[in-house]
Amino acid sequence: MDGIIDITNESYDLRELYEKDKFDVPSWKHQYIYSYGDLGGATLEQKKFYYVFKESFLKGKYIDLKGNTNYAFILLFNFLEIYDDDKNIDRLQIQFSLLGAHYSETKQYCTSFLLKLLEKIGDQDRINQLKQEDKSLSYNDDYWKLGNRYREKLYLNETDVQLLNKLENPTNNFCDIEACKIEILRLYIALFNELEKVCLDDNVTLQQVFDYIAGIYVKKQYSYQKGSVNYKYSIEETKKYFYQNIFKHAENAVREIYAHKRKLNTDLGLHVSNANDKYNERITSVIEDLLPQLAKKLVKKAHSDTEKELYALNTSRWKIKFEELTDKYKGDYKQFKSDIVALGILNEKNPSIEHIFYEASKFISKYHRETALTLYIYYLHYDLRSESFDNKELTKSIQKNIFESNKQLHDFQLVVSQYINDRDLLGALRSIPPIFETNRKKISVNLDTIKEVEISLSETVNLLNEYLCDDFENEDILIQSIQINDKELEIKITDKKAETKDEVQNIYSSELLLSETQISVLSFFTKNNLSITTDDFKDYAKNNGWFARPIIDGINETCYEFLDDILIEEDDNYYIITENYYQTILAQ
Amino acid sequence: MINIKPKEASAIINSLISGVVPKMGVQHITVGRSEEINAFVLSLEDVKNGQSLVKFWIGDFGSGKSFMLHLLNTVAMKQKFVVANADFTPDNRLYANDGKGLALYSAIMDNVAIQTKPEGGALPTLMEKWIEQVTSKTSEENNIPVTEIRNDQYQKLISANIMKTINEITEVGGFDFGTVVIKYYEGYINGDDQQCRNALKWLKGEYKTKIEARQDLGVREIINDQNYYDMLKNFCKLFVSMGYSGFMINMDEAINLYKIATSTMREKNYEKILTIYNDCFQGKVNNLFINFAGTKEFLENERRGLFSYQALKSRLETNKYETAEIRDLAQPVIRLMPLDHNEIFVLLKKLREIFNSNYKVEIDISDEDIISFMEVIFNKPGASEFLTPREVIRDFLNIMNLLRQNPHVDKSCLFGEIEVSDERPKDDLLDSIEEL
Repeated sequence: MDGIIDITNESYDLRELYEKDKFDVPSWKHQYIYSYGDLGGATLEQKKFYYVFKESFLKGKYIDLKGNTNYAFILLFNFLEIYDDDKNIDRLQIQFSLLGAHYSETKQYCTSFLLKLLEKIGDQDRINQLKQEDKSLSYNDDYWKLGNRYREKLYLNETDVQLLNKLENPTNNFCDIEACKIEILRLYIALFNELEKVCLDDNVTLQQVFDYIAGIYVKKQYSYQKGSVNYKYSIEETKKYFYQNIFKHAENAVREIYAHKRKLNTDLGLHVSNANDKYNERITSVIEDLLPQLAKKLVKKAHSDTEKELYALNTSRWKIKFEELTDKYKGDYKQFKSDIVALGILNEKNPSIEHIFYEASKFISKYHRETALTLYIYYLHYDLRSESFDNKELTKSIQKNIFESNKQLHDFQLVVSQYINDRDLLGALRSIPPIFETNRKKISVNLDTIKEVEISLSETVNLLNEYLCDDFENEDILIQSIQINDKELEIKITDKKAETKDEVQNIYSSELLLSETQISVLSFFTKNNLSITTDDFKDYAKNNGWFARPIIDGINETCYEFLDDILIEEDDNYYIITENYYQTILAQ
Repeated sequence: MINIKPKEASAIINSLISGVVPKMGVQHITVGRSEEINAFVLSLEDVKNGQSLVKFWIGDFGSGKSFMLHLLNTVAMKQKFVVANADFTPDNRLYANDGKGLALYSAIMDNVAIQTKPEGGALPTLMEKWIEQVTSKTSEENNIPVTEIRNDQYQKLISANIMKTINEITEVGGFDFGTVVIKYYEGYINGDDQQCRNALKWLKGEYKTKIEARQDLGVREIINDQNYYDMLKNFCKLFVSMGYSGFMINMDEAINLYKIATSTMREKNYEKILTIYNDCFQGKVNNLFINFAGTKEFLENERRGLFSYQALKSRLETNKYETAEIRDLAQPVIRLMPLDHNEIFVLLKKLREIFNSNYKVEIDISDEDIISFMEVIFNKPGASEFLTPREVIRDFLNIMNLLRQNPHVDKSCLFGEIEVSDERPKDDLLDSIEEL
């Protein structure tokens, strides 16, 4: 077999492009292929896939095109062109046979073209053999009729085939989506059957109703004699309007379910108002009753491929789903992000896809700033792939919601410019969380410095211990210096305590070295339950020839080192000794 | 094993958790202040020996100024100094002619403290102690028994000795000072508490008019804005004659002088500082130790700070050979640098030991945990602006307490719950103070 016919003067290395047995078929919206040259209108990706598809076919591998039949038709015409060069009819027959067998949409065409070629070369035997193998083959205009085309696909009976054959091929964008057309056809057939039932309830057939209404129109519009050929023809032609109208209703119902906003005009449009009125009365009103429930019951949820086509068709259709997501948002930002990304995938053919992410970023900025920036990066990702790079910035108020500081804003701007430069989406997304992480200061300590500090502290503690320890001024040691002569000085140290008559029994710790005066004062406290008013103590001191405060102060100084606190506290108008302190100073 | 008294450990832990400086054991937490403390104790010795000094403790919020002043107090009182503390406020200052100078004096005298009365209010005790000394001396000199010396017949003798002693030690205002002390003595002997109170009121500068003072005490003069500084010098001499090592006065929040709106008044106050400075360093007064504490702005601002007064600037400028590593702590200005991470680490380690010693436990906090704690707290919002050692210590001890009572709690969860709060005083922008 011949190799690839390169019509673009470019060559492609296909080895790594697609993994074996895993084919991601680039979507190619259905169009009528008239020649191999129609491949020129395909995208680069589609072209690359076509060559893979062809190579696989030639190697006996038949890739599932997932409804993208254009590739099969291109191949058909490709084979025809090759035949034109070498006239190898045997090879062509095999190729067409395989093509028709594996890509059923091409079967009729393959047979039709083969038959023509066989007729041209006068190979009657092959022609007869072909017709023998498949009696349904005939290349005629009826093939194009809806009923004939969808006979097998929709498992239609003959009545349904005939019903659908009455319709003109719908040629709008919505019906160009195969899955949508199929749903409309199924709904149409079901609707028709229901209309039939309703009519039968009135003891008429639908055809009788159609004939009646058509008769009103034809009679008024034309002056044909009833029963004449012209009359009959006009009736049939008029009834086509009815079939078409019912089909439009069915299509609108499917459009409604598939949230395709644009609807068809379902006015019958006959110029005879009586006929219109009658039609509305007998048909339209019944359809309006039946259709919503019927559509709900029968129309299948759109497959993701269908959704993709629909989103591409109606570039603002995403807003319906988007509004649903924002209305139901309850704080699960992760789910919101997944839903938006999923919505984005379904909108991959939508040239306005970037707006989804921009709006989502704006919405979520109030709730979760990281997700807002992530979705903004996705916005940029798609914006860069669009025809014009808008590079819309987040508004100032949204920036305020998201960024706590100029640094964070600046860091994000760096991420954005980096992404625009290198288009590394994953890298950009990974750069977002660190923007909001506070740069943690690392605390590092130096072991040598710590040792120095500890040594220094130890020295300071020792120094201060010296200064903070009590010199312990003993009031009972009397130091007298007596000048004896010019050269001699006698220093006399007298322990006052030793000189005392020791009249007062010293029940206190010997470490304290309390004077007699101080012991007397403490006895006075003991007699008064360790609590004396300041006035009473003043009187007591005065009676003994002492000043009250110095006495108290002297006792406190003496006991301070022992107790690490003062013994006698002044509290409002009382001098108080705490019981446990008193117990502490008693001799053990 | 840490060498610390149980009482000190308890005081340290309980005080620091409350965010105040402990009254005992403070030497154990003087991390990073060795040089300053060495300089201070040398200064204290100098003052004990008769010199007088003025020091300026300069540091920003959270640098430990109040901690150092508290430490100075504790050491000085232990060294038998009489100590007084007063904060500058908008209502008191060094120089005034509307009573604000006197208000500062009253605040100082109200807060006079000694070791056995560290909380202040020691002036009556000191006065009685001094009177008792004079009385004892009189009794000895005249061979009068101690039990009889307070009799009426000897009152004149004692009054004469009181006046004689006062005249020996005072230069200015001695006559009225002596008269008031005699009045206090007479009030005490005669049981006239009101007279004693009036005498104390005069000594504390609480008489607003001479008429009042004359009516109550028979003296012509009162302490006022112009003469209060002389009275402080008189008291210094008095305390030294009583046997104390000297008189230390600490004045904090010097930023309030910076905030004086009129430049003339502000300069007068700085002039007063200069007068005190010169008196001390020129030997005109002995055994007086004055400490001012303020921020860097108070010192160095060339428009409003001390450096705006040229005479002070030339005396207080930093030794130009000083560096961060080689410091001159002999100069009047001592800058308190914030503790660095190493010092805070050592401090927290020390606190861990003190805590364990206090509660006789071994809390499971390793050195690495301490570093993790420091990382967490120093990375909290606001940490770089207003985190202080006080807050770090308080949070650390609170966590230790929780762990002590709940040993199975996850430390990292506790660290994560720390919040840093702004404890700075709510000052208006200093430079936006209106200049009058």
